[in-house]
Amino acid sequence: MVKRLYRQPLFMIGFLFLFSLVIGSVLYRLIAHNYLPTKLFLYKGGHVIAHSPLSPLQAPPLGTENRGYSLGIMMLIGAKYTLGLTLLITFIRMGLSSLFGTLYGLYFYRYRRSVNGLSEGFHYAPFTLLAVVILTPVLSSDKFTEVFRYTSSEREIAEILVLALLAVPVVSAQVGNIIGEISRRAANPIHSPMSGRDLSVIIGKPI
Amino acid sequence: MSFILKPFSKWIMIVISMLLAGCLPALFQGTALNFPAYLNAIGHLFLQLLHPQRLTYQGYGGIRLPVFPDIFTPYFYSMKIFFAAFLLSFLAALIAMFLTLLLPRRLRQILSFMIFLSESLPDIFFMVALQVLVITLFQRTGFLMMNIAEDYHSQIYALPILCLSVLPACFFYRIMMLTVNEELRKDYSELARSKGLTLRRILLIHIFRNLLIPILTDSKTIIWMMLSNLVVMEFLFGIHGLTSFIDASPTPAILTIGLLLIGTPFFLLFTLLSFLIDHFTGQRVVI
Repeated sequence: MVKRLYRQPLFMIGFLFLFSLVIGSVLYRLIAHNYLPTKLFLYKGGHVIAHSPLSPLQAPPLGTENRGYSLGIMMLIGAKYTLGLTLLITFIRMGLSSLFGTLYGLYFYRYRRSVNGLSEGFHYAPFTLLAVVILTPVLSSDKFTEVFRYTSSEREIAEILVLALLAVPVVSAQVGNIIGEISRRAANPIHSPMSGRDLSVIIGKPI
Repeated sequence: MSFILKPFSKWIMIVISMLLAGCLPALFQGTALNFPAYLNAIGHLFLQLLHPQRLTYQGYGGIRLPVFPDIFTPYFYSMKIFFAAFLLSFLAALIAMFLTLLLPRRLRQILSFMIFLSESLPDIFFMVALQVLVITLFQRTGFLMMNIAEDYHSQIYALPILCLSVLPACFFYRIMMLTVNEELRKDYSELARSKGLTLRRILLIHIFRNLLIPILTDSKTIIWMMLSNLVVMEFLFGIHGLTSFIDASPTPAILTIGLLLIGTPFFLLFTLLSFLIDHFTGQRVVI
């Protein structure tokens, strides 16, 4: 399977892009210790000719934001956290959902009306909105003192767990429905109106 | 009688699950889980929902205002954008699918590469890139293609609908391609081809009908994803829609009412569609 993936040019483009971003991010931390260059003003002959935010042409590679920090370097530093968290959340989410979904699809599929009905409410709940409502008190700092209520590791763990677990009901119901339908079709092949297709393309997409 | 009772019992279950989902903010007290407070909130919410006219939300300057009918303006605005984006993405995917199967090989590769590209870019990128494009065009030429944010006088439609429909269109396209390739390998389409029917005819008349069931089953997942994107989109375009209304005063009652308002039309639509499919193709859909 890995060999076949090598021959897919589209897969290799995306994979190499993300992989080099993560590797570059880690290397930058090891070599340059996350050095963040700043350029608040642009001088020419001793005179200020422009101030931040500067365009990508004035301050390569990607310009600066309004406090003068280089945007490209900020993204390089942050890439390992964002991509790492995405991977971690996806693994937790898909692992738990496959476990629960397989259990439901193999042993409790006869209760599918109730299970589908009860997971339905989460289907119509905007995932982002629920996450924002739950995580805002945890992640935000005090308005006046700018002190966080929780330590940074507590905040990270809470973020990972909430983002991973909120999707579990919907995804496990999906996985279980597919498994249940396939195993039922295998048990009596005459009734096969549905077909078990590869749905990993949809439900594996982190939001 | 059962064709009314069955959907109704299903709807009751959906309402219960929405109560459970809507009370989730009460479960999290910071990082600690508080199950007694969660159960309390569910009981309290149930009582509140019995008197919907007494529900209030926090308006400008901290004034308490009744939720009904104030929630309907943002609700209908969001739903218009949402349904339009849903339909647009479905139609775009359908057209792309027919093009993929009927075009010559060279053009087909270009098309599939474009779809791959738009699928791998995050939708926030699309929204911001389109906004920047419209602004740059306006600065250079003075031609305002479309509005990029909601203002006091006018609601915006074109750009949000476009942005919201990009990702679902890719997913619809994938589902359709997977199913069509599966159907093309089945006996009936091989028989049809061996009898000399053209591919176009087989696709339009025989396969298209069988596509509906997988699409209907999977469109629930697509709706789930689109709703999350709707939140981001309303934030980026400054749209005062349903999700920003909920976000402004996120109490369990308002959250649950929002979920009910979003979910019920889709439930009715899916129930109707599954009846129609049952009637026309004789196949049962579990939704």
